[in-house]
Amino acid sequence: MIPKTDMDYIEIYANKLKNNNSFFQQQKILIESQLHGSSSLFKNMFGTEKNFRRNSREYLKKIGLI
Amino acid sequence: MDQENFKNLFIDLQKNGFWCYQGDTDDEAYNYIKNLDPIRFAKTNEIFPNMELIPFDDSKKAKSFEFKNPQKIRIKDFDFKISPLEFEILYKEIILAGKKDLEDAKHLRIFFSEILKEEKFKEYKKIITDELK
Repeated sequence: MIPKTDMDYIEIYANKLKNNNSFFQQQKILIESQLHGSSSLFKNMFGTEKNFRRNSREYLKKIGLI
Repeated sequence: MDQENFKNLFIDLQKNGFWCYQGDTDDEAYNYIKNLDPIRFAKTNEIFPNMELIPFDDSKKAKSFEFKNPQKIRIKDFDFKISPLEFEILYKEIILAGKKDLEDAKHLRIFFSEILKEEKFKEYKKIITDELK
């Protein structure tokens, strides 16, 4: 199968993951890397403690999450 | 959830290093809970990951069903509960229905294809479509 759409890639990856558990390790590394990256970014953008909460809320309102 | 119970939970979360997106006091956050609007908590000085606290009453049929019909999961020595997979998939496909939700649902349908039960899809579909009425 030659993937064409995003959904085709979802199907291929889900089947690969089902047939080979080692892909979970790859996925875990990717997610942890994303979390680490976003954590650094938000700390730089918003500061810490009270400033962090205030600035984060402004940001979250802008993007419609709260 | 009554205000006193919520206050205890809120203070406990703050003491254990969490902050609430919706407010710094339990009074502020309880305004959302009493209107059955969800709120989110994350670790201090972090936005992701976060956890969502979803209040509901018997008028919210789908949420009530999820709460009353949990599926038990164990990862090593950690036990927790999730809603049934068939329910989770249909909720993503019918209620949420965004691009990412449909992709998540497709992933779950393929990955868990050997344990998903068609009769459960039929049963849960009625409950979920009722939520849209």
